[in-house]
Amino acid sequence: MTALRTSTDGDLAIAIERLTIYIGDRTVLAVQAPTFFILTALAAQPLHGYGIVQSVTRLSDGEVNLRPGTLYGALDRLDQQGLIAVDREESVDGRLRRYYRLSDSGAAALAEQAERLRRHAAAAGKQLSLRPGTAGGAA
Amino acid sequence: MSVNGHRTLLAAYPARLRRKHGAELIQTMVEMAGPDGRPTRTEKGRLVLDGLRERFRPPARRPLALAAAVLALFIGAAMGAAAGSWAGTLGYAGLPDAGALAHRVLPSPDNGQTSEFYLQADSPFPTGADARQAAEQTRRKLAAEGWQTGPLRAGDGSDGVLANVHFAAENADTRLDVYAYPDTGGHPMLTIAGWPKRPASYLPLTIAGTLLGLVAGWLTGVALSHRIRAAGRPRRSAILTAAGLVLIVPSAAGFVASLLRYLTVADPAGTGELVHSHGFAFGPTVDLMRGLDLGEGWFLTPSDFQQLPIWGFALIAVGALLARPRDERAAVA
Repeated sequence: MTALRTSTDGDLAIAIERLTIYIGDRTVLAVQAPTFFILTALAAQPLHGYGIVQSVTRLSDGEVNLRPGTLYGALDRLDQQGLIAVDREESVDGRLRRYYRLSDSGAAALAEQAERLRRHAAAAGKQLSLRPGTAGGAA
Repeated sequence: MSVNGHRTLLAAYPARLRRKHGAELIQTMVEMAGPDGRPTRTEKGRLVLDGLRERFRPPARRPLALAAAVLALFIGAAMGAAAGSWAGTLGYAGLPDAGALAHRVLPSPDNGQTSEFYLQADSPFPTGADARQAAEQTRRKLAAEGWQTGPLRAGDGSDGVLANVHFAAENADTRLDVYAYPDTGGHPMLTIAGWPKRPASYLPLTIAGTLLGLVAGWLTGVALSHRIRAAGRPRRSAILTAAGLVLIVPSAAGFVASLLRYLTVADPAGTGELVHSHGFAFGPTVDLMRGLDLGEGWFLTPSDFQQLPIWGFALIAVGALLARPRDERAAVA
């Protein structure tokens, strides 16, 4: 669901509060925005935990800052739903690096959700263009 | 500080997350602090809070697991209420000696018995004497001893109790019911039944136990649901757990209903409605079964209801033991 909310400086901002991941008509998972961005981060390439944190911060323009506890709780649920999987494990300087990748069903679900959001955004843009006083809108 | 130096923070997380992601969690937190940085106290606190939150989160999109967790919540609340209520009974004041009391306030007492939570005494009075007058004499004697006595009331026998005149008396610690029966199988009888009053600490302890039980029940239900979901053969454990819950729920419901009666019934039917009159109880009382017109065990007795949860918990324990987690490395691609 996309919700309108007032930011702390009083401006209206659009924030994705909660999303529902679908495959076809089947609801796979109701997720918070951080989880959506985790799937998005893994779309391009497998990443390890800290890599996911950095990628999500970049992709959300700093709006979503994952904490380790939030990240691995979300990864666990996405793994349960089959949307992600462990890609490989590496040992770097004696440290475990576990890389996660988007599964095929995860990629399909993310693509479908992205398309939904695109349609919704297009619908909102179209309605706004009809607003009186807007360029292209009704006089 | 090394990764190992932060491992105690993981205690806040459920075991399944510790096993799967424990090392990564700490590793990521250390990496986020920067090459020379150390996680701040706030960051560590958030890590712990996130772990505690995960303990409360049931498996996603598993309605049966959610239903089991809700039942566990209810059972936990009932168990907590029973524990708190039982702790509350430890504050009951001692009862007066029934024999001595009977000799002071009854005309010619036959016997008097005092147990931990109940006293009883009776006495005949002359055949043909007025029951109201006999009850009034006892009421005056009790009042002279400092008991607060209620008004005389008459029962015509239509409620299943023999025709009688009765009244209640109480002091700071004890409640008495005094009945004068004009005809108990051919002779009149005066009886006294007494039980302890609820101490002020009883209700707070019961509420505290209920709240703790709610939390414990939900956490247990959620942990069990996750364990069964991750098991190699979940169906077997799910059936055992469901059967265990079915065995426990009637006793939990019975206890809660009995507790509500104990807390709300203004005129207890001669037994005080005590829910722990025979020690720790987790099931319906005889008073509840009588009140619901279920007899005292047409199908199950109160004692049976005390036994059922033991079998139920045993089944759940076996189900949990059998729900051995799959090898997590084999479970991922």
